[in-house]
Amino acid sequence: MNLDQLIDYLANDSGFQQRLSKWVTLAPRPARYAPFPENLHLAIVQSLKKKGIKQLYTHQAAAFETVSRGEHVVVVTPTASGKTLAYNLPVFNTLMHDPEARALYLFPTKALSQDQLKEIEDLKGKLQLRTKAYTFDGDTPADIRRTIRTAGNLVVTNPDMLHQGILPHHTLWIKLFENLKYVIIDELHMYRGVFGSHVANLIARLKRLCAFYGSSPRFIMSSATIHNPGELAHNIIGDKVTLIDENGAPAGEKHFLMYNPPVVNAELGLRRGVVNEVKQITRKIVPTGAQIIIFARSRMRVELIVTYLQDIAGELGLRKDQIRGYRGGFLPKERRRIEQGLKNGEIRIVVSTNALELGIDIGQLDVAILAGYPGSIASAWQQSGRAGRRRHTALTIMVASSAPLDQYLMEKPEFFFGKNPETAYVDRENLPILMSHLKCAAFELPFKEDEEFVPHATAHLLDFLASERVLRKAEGQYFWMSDIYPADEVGLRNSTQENVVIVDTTRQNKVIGEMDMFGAQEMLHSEAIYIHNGVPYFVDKLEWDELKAYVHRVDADHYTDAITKVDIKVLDVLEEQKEPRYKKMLTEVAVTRAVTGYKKIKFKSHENIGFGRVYLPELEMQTTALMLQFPREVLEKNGLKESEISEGLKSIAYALRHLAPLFIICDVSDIAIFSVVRDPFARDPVIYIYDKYQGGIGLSKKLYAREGLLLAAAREHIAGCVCTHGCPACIGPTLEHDENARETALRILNAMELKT
Amino acid sequence: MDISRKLSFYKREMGRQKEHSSLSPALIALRDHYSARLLFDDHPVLLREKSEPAADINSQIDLKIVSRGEFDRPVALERCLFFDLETSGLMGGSGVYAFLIGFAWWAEGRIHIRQYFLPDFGREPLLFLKLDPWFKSFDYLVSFNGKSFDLPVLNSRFLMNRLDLHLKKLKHIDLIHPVRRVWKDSLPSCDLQSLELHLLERRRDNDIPGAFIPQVYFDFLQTGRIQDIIRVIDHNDTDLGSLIFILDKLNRIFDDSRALALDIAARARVARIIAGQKPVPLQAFKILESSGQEPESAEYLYWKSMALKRAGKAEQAHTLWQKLQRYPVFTFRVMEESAKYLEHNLRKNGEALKIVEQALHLMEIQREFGYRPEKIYADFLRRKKRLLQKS
Ligand SMILES: [Zn+2]
Repeated sequence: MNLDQLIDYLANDSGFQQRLSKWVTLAPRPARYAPFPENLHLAIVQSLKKKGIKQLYTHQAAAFETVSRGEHVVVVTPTASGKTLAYNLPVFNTLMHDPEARALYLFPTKALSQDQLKEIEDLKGKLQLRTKAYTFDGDTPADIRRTIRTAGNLVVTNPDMLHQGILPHHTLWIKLFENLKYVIIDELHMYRGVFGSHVANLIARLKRLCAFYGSSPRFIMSSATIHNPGELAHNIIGDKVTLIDENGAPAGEKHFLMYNPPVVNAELGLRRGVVNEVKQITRKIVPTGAQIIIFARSRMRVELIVTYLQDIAGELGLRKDQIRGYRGGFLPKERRRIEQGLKNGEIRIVVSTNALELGIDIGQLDVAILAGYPGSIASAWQQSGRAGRRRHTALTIMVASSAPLDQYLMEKPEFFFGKNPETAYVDRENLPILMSHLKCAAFELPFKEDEEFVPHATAHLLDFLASERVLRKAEGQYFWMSDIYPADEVGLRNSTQENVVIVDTTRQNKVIGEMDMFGAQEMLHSEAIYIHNGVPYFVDKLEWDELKAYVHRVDADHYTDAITKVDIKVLDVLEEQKEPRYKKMLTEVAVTRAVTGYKKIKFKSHENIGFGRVYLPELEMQTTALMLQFPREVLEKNGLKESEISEGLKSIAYALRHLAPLFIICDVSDIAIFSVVRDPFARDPVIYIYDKYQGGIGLSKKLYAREGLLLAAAREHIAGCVCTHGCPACIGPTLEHDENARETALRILNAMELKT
Repeated sequence: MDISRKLSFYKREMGRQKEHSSLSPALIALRDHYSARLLFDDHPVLLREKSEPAADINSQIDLKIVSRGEFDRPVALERCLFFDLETSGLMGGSGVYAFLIGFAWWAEGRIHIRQYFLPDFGREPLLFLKLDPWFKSFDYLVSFNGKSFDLPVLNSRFLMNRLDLHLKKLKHIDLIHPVRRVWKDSLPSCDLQSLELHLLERRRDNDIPGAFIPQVYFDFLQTGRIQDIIRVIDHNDTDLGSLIFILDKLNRIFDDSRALALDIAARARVARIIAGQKPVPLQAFKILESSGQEPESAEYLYWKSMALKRAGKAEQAHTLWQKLQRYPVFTFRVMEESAKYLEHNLRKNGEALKIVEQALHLMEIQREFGYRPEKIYADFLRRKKRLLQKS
């Protein structure tokens, strides 16, 4: 049975059909070609032809032409659609004329940059260019660093290295800065939220140094499909960007199946587990001979699925080593072996975390199975893009879990197949982040009095830093006046400078991770069960003064859920708008949070099996919040009592929080939600949705513009859930609510007369 | 919320201190303290000059051996510009400001010192421009750890002021490398202070630890108090003087007319340096030995033997190898050398075989005490096999 036959077979399998909430067939898309641009160097054209590339895809040609006009460009490209060539063509074309030219390639991870170098070396060899290309990362030895600084034409690195290793030492990189023609930013959609805000500031620093050395590089970016790639690119580089979102690469016929496991307990709204379902589906597919990639959300899931499948390897007619796991934390050599095995067909099934979602070269496979919704539509499509050899049929099966977002998409698959509503947002002006980078920038080069780093506020901020004796104003400039190295004080992937370090006492006090202080209070308080990469740890002690959490591994049958006392004070109202029945405001708030205790909750059954107390200091955070105000009189008119309102708001809040990532790309843990029946500021029942980062990173600002959609989605989802009294898939675990909570939530939402 | 209100939130926990803007009284006080001069009217820089007699210093420097051939011809001391910076940060990077730039040189039996103190940021351009022609009167730049710290900092400063100065073109003698080569095993550490203490027998009074220096400068900018800045300027002054004397010490390693600064460990290290030279300067051993009172260490003898071997004096080397067999660290190494010598030079395969078998025997005995055969064991086995075939 081949894949096409399997698809026919599945189409006629009524048991299987019943579980599908949607089967979408995307018609094959023929390649769209464009002739080689006239100003593309003849040698490049010839070597491409030798490689078998007779014409360019339209997006490759368009990118080249746009850059040739001197514009910055962002190309939207699905997986495996020739994006590498799209950004390498302008670079190499310039090198043909100017052997001193420099280009900087930024990849979000180290693994990706290693992979990229291979591609560059290949093209370079074919063009017989004496161009020197290097990766520059934490592992680069000191003597090679010297060579890279002076002689590297193409420097392939990541934002963290640019931040700590290159910009603060720019005088050693004078050749790079003086001759920098291109900056390539791959996987742009990864730069969002806190990381994105950091990177936007980092790029501002880079541009500032380029200006000092008299260069003005063009930015060539690539992004996965999201709602606003152009806007994101504009925000990251702080300049006008041309968007190319028509992709010319061909694609074979594609089947995308949304599979919802059967309900096993309607009261609790529980469905059959994802892992088990994936095993059954794999069983059906293996006989077709197709190569399969399975994506799981955590490393633990990956290991679990691999074990399950290896157990039935004999039955599947496979050797155990034809089924492999792939995740972060593997040694490069091991990863290469797997990548090779996939390419030559030796490995039949690979189970991966999102590590393989990015552009690592493993060739194309036939079937992608998503074990649970990966958290964003963009990710889901990228993972699905791993299946589909050119001009061949590809099959993607997304298996839903019982999580609210998974279930919502199963109810409303059109959401998934329509235009991607996910917006990636970065906030250049998050104050703590901006300040960190302003300091780094001042270290790198003194600020001139009238210089602008961020629109409007630069002078203000510099004066502030001078008054705090971090800078010194002299001779009309602001000089760095501290013996610390500011780039060491800030990591690009965290929001607050201070982090709690997680120490594993069972492994010679190895540091296994870090967490911001707010997160640490909730997840690393003493006696918490902390899940790290899917492995449960018991927290022996949280040493708050040392910012250290000591943990050891356990086999836990429960997890812990912190009881957090939250208080929100509105500092300022930035925007407000009255809807027919409710009101929304975008506010600056001060949130005080203190973890006072925790609940022990049993895995699977979510049963509450105990409590504990926690003594930790209050933390304060200033951030932005979307405030939804539900007028008491409207609710009372609809017969809702105060106690009901409280329950109902909590239920709505749960749904809103879990559905919000549909509209803004973020993790459920990036936002927090708080509901209160008598809000001292609004004097009404209120729900706050706020950014869980000091200074705010623009998530609630984005939600402010889409609150109607979000509320409507919540209502629809709660109404459509299969459970009877509320469940983790809609309003949260039943045990936490009273019996009518789901009903009440709906009554409140209906009273708001939402547009649909 | 507007930015200033945000700021008030942001800074709440940061303390504030009052600023002292007027610097001139402080600068004048410093000038008077040192009887120094102020350069440039609008953007003053303090210049402190001094000189003292130092007749007992060799005017010709020969670093050929200790620099392992990097400086292979004699250097005229007068052509050397010694330099040392005090900076606003110790980690490097383009934000580090050199607020005190000290130079020293030797001429006609005197040490001359010039220190430029920059009483605020942004005072560099005029100074650099003024200094540039002066750099041309020197051929060498001498520093202690200047290759990895001081010179990159200065280079950064030049670049940030868009200047390309002659200083960069001088050949750079960084004393830290030869000093480590010679005294690494003799001193607890090879920083400038312990070199001063152990080699020069100079002791510092009221010295300020290097780690405090950036903060001293920031405090000076803020308060105008000069006590600690004086300590920094004196510290820099001492550093500069020491540089000259340390170079002189290095230069005198092979000076047979005087007592040597080399203890037994340093002599062994020097022997090793000599053995690595090409051609091997065998006469250096004579000088080393002429003043050494104690018997030389095994390590010294080993390196001397290797030097002799490389110089084609295998016979003399062989005598040492026989002597060195008694020292466990060298036993097998020198037995191997002896075997090679007997086999290849003298073609006495029988005698060579005897040594090889003896070595293997010793190793096998040691095996019972946990000796793990290493590469040398395998080498001996191979040699044995070959010798057996030959005979
Ligand atoms: Zn439900």
